[in-house]
Amino acid sequence: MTQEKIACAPQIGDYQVIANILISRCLGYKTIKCPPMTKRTLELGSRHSPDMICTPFKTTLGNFIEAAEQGANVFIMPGFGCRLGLYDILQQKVLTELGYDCEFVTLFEYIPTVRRMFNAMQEINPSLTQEKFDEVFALLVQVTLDMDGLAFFMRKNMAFAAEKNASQNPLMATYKSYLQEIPAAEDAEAAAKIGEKYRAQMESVPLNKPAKPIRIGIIGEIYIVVEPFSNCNMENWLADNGVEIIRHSSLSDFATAIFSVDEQIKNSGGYVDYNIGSTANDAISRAYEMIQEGIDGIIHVKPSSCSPEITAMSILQNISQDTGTPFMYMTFDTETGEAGVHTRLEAFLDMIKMRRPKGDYQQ
Amino acid sequence: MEGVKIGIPRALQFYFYEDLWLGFFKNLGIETIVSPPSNKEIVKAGVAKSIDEACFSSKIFIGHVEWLLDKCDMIFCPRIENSAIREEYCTRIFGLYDLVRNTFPQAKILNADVNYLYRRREANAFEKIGEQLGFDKETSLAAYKNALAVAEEVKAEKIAQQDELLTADGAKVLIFSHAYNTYDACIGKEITDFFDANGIAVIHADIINEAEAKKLTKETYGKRVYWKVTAQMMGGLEKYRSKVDGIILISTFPCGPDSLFNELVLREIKDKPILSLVIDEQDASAGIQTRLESFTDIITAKRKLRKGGAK
Repeated sequence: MTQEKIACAPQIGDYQVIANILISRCLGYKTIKCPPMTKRTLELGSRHSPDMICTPFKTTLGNFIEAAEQGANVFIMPGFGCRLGLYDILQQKVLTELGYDCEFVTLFEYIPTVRRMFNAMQEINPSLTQEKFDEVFALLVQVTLDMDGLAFFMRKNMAFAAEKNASQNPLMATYKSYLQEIPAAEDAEAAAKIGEKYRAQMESVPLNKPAKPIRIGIIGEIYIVVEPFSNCNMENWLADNGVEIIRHSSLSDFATAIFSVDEQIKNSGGYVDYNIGSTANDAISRAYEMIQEGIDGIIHVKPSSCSPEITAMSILQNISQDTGTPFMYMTFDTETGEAGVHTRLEAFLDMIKMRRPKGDYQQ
Repeated sequence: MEGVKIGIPRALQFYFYEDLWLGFFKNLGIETIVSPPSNKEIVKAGVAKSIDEACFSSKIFIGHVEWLLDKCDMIFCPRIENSAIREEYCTRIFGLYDLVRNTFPQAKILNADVNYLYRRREANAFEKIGEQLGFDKETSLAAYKNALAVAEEVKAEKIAQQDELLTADGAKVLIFSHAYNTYDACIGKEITDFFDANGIAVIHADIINEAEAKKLTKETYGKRVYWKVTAQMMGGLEKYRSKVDGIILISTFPCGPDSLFNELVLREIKDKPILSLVIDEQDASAGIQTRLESFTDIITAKRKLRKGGAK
């Protein structure tokens, strides 16, 4: 008897939902969510990782070890470029040496196209038809767009929900219930209906939003940006302290960003001429765009030793100097403590408030 | 352009393309100045001008650019993303042009783009470089082709020399490291000098026929290893590992490709002594000397043991 295949994707914000829809519907595997990240995940991950590797390797490895303890034996990785594209070669080795018999599914190999994703799926499940794949893919696109749209709205307005006394922010609660309901969606059309329903619900949450709130942009490496546990719940802290968060990094933005590097270079105010790797160009063009729109400050986040974003920092420093926009650079690793992060955010926010005419962000 | 002087930093890609670049400019009759081997001042200047989290090798590069600034008219810093499909350089290397431009806004940079994904081939890049210096396409192309042929010859010669070294008796160590680290006076030079002084032959994993290396890497690790230099080093490792007494991994902090593949090597190879050295700007040559000495003791003892057993 062959062992039952139980698939698991790493915790990347809330995107396990997407990976699980893809795997369960295209490959017919049972899917589980890896246990929510804790200090133990980080400890396990970094204990079995090389020191110099970038943080997402350690955290996703921690996810996989914990999922393997629960019986998962198929792991999903996106593939693609930078170091990420080759993580699984070493992760598989580590897991095998730890005694877990496992296989990896790499969604994209070298160049991320839909075609390659289909090929990767069909190689594992030869009975998968193009028609079925297209249907699932359309569903994925719909869910990703809805999810990211809802989350963008939430981030912008979370700080200003009128009913603050609830244990959970009403916008956050709506978003969470969307995530609960969406895996059952039959197809793209059904998903769109669910999306609309929650969109309307979210827009009807009463807000007390001042005319000119403090607006902070978040840019940087996609994994750390979208993964709240890995960035010490930075966005929640900002929202709790009355900040409108502008963040254009999400899975759907990422999927378009990697195909529009030329566009990003054009929108970077002449600071950069070429692709400098991963989403670093996106970070630069987003920063430049936010500054044109009069943002109060920008936070650039990245995992430790992320080389494309380190190159981007040299360029962002020039942009910051030339435009006078405050930037804060934050590097996250498995040892980053929440208190330290919040202290820095507090200092950054105080400084931004001082630059504004007294109290105008409250009116 | 009459009398223009091109400055070439002796760091990073220079070690991959030395003969091609210098040959090209020589064929065109353009004067070049190459920065000296890395020294304390260059390292200090590079570290001061770089983001602290950047890799040590790229900090050194910045130091070399700074050294050249007032000694030439233009800095040669081509932007090379890959040398074929699936032969990528690391992001630090292909971000270099933009890094230099933003670190030294006043510098005049001689640049051309090589990116085979966009069909921007190496030959076209050299035509463009020639154009910026006032040469027509044919002249530049001829200069490039000639320089390339010479560079290939030099490479073949190096491989032949190493093959000879491999068949010789005596202790040998395999250096698994990027060329820009192995030969840099502030990174790997000290290490190879140590072995030379102790009569141990040094074999380089990256001195290998490229096609052969690619094939070996593909057979062992699949076709997915898309880093050009790493694929070459992994191929060299496969080819030479059985013929050496020990393996030295040299890496600078924090190197992207090495962080993955050095770990893979450490987990994969169990039958040879391996020493992994990570170098950064904290000058700690005494510590490295000690580790090299004890490593040498181990491989000499192992050789003695083997010889004793054969009797």
